[in-house]
Amino acid sequence: MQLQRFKNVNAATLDEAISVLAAGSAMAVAGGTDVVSTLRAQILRDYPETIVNLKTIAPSLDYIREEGGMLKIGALTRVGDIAGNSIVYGKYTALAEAAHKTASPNVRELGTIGGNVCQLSRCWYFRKRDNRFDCIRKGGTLCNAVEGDNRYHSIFGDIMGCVCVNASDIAPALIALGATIVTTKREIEAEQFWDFAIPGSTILDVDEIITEIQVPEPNSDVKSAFVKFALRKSIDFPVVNCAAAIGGGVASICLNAVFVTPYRPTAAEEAIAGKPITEDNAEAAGEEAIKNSEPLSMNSWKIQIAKTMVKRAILSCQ
Amino acid sequence: MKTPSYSETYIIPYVNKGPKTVYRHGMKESGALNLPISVVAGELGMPTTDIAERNEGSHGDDMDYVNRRFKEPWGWTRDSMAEVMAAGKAAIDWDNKWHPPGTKQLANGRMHGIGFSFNKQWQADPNAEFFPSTAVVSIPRIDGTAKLIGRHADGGWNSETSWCQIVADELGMKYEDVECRPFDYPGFDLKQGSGSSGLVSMSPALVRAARRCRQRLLELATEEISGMRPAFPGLTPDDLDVKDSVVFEKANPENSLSVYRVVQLFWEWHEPAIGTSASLKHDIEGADRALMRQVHFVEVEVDTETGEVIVTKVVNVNDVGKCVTPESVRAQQYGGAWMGIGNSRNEAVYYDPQTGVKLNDNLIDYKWFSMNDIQGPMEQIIVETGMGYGPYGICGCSEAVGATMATCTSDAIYNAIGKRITSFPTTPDKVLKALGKA
Repeated sequence: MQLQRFKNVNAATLDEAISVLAAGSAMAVAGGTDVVSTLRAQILRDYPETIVNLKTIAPSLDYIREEGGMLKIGALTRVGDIAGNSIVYGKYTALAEAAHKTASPNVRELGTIGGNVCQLSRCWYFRKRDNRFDCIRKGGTLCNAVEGDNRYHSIFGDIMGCVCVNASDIAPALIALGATIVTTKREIEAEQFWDFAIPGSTILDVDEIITEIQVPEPNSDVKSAFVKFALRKSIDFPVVNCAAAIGGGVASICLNAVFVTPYRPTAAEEAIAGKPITEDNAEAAGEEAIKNSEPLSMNSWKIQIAKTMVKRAILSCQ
Repeated sequence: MKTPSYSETYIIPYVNKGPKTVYRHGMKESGALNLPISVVAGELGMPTTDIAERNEGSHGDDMDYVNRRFKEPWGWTRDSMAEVMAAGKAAIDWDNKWHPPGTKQLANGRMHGIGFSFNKQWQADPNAEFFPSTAVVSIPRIDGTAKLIGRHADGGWNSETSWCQIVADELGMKYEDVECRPFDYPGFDLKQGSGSSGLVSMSPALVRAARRCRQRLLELATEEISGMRPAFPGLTPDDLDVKDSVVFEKANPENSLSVYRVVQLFWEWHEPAIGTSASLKHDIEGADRALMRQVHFVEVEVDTETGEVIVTKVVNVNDVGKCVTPESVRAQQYGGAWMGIGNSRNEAVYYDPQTGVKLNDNLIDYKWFSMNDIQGPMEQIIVETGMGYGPYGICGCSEAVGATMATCTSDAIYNAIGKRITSFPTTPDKVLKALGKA
């Protein structure tokens, strides 16, 4: 596995980066923790001719600030900086906890929030080096996981036949907190941001770049939390994770790594909204969350995990 | 409760893909030994340690026979199993913490479990022909320090340190005056091919080479050669001793000269003091009985809602015969424990059932344990009964801790949830399945 030759462009401005991306056969890189491994393993059908480095853009997109009742995070802000920010931890707890539980310390020191929400699927068929499995997500006709080893795959069905999962830890926190993703073209509600795309994981156009994440300040009676289950304490992508923001009679819950996109269990939200947070109520909401589950041949165990994550995320909002 | 022997069958399927889990030396033997004991103990509701102690033996013989036939004639009186068991039980507080399977729920809601496994202390068969080693010990004139030379060996924890310590002791020189100078050309092999049992295989050659080198040094110090007056005229090698890199007359210690000065005196006329040796086969009947033991204990908490197993304490006890370098032994103990627990809990290679293509050939998807994945303290205890077949009764530690730990964690999980998981690794999906939740 090694990198192939490509042209590197250190973009000085957003406009320059956009123009290079619009020309085609180009890929944007921020922290590089996902892009570099993608290129090294050559998992995609086509290898980009150009890599556009976003870190050289001025003015910098690396900032965290509160402004107008809103948390604003530049797209190039490192995940580790979000995890360690006292304002984020104090008011937007689910986001800070999600950032803290992302990957490992060295990855958090490289990876950016913009890169994290745009990361490609972690499906091991999709990721197999040298494009060994030319699956639906790459434009092929078959999802190899459906009849294959699908122990980590979707428990809520497919989109266009693909049963991979979104593995971002930060995504469910942004959805639970009602965040907006600002790009060079538009503002997108976080819940609408992730969709089936080839080969990406978002609805971004090829020449569209995230510039900022905006999170509205929660009401004082809202508490948020993030929980994660993985096979190892560090490094791992989630088996299942869950973020919740509860208070003022409203509950917002988002699971991830259970479906092709982040998954909002609305029945669970309705089950807990306005009710006291107790063990029984949280348990009941967890049961509601998995009612529509459709496990594959090897992943029914994830249903139990998902139920537990919803329950524990709710209990953590006490 | 007491079984005279185990029937063990290996089934080796030849398929177009690799082994299911990473292979650790001795794992299948350890599994064949410990799994039946764990199952029998579970069925009887008895502590695993009790069944292990009742079935202690060697090569299918019980200890009465082994004691009578081998240990007594050899003059060995210590009971390795009893010593390591007592030390391990005390460290983990086994007698207070063991409980019938699936009966102890903690205040945090998790189920508490404690597990045990044991094995012989791994060492090379001293009569095997595939474990020869060679050593050259030289005290060249240039600086009077001892050089241990030979082909580089990759295996072992800090093995060169232990080798130099042995050579220093045998020569009577300071540790810092002995240097290991490995090279990569075959010929003199410092533990041929490296690998396990390095110290017990290497030390016979080391000791003999060092003793021959020492003898040659003392001969140079007392012989008149080409009319040259020796360093210690009128004395014989038997009149001299070496300590702290100084040669001295036993009857008059003030009559002394550093090793450096002794070899310098003859720099124009003589080869350096040198000793060579190759390890030889032992001719002790039953020397492969390996009477020293290792026992391991693991304490866990099982989250029955997720199937997660949290390791809260580990105790490893190894009877290594004679411990030359405690740091090296402890490294093998906790290193092996870490790998063994990780192996049994997480590690597996997964293949696409349609194509046979390996799916998790990277360290993201292959779940090698990280440093955070054992939360509790890990305690290493070293026992020295001196019943190994190497010099000083040495045996060594080696990688068998890793091989033996796998069944230790599965025994602990059974003790926690009262349900048996029948395959490795014991991943959360299997725990949940055993609990009827998946």
